[in-house]
Amino acid sequence: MTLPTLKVIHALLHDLDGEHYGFSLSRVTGLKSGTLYPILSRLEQHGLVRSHWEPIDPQSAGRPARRLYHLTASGIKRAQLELAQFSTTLTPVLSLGGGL
Amino acid sequence: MKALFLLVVLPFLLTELTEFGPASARAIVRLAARLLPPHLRDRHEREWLADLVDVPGKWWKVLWALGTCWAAWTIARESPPEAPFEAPSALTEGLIRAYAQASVRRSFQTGEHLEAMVELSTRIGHAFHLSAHELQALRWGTYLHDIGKLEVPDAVLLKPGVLDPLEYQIMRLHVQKGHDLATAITGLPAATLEIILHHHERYDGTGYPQGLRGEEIPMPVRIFTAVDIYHALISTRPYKRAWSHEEAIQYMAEESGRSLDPNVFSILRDLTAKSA
Repeated sequence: MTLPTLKVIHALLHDLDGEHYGFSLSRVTGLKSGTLYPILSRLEQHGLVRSHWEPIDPQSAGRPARRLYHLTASGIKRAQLELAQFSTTLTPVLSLGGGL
Repeated sequence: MKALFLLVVLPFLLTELTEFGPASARAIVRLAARLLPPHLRDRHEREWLADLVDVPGKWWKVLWALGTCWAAWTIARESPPEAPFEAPSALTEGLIRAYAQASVRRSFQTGEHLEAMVELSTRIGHAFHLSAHELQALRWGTYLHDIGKLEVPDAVLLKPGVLDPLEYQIMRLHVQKGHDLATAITGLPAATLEIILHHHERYDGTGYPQGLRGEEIPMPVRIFTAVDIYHALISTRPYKRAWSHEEAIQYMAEESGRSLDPNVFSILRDLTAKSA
């Protein structure tokens, strides 16, 4: 798993109940659209992440519905395993955050 | 040549550069989505346009949008090709038609108009080069679009007059009820479920249940909505006589760009003109 992918699964694991969407994940991980979206697509293809449309009425919300992402049960397991391997070396890097 | 540059090209470039902003970013995202295989286009385009709203500042928006081009290229390269199309079994097809028959008989209508709707939506789908998967989803969505009406009480569904506000609210629930019912048919394509849930969305965003607007409404849904309106107009209903083809097309021309996707309407007009 590459460092950008670890950043994404770290963000998702850190807040399992949060409403994560492309731009919010970009803010937390510092990754830009060109890197972030393919990672989400890959994680989803491997069944580690699921996504669904935000159940809002865009008319009253005044913005389009976002695509929300969360880890699946196997995604949580895999994320914990991957992150545990690198916990000592990566913690400072993963908590850096950043973004736009 | 210099004069031409100073008088025409330079002002054009300056205008383009100063107006380079959210609209350009949205246009870039739409172009990026074109790089994706057809079955992934609608979903990513909608997602990326929604995320773009939050990106602050016009230049960041443009850069973010340019990033989606790279993302689309990468996703297109890595995505497994769409599974080859397999024709559904006779049993699957039969069960879907039986469900469809149940929903139209509930309103004491015949299944004939349903077959005509399936034929027209499939022809429009072909005109938009939908894949075999999308065409099947469109066909099944056309059959099943009103299964939620199985759960609408007689007093509302069969009322000959205009519905009062409460009855109208109950009627509106049929899209959500239908969607919930259809999810029980495991293996139904996502686009079919989208047709059931969103077939009362309007192109200008004033429809229900989510008020989706323009290209936020998936293409198969926009096709079906136009077919549904056309057939509602040319059919007899408890509250109206059957309109002629010309009357229906004239009304729909006024609605083009309002409730209807203008591109879908123009194809529907051409196809029905040939058969009318």
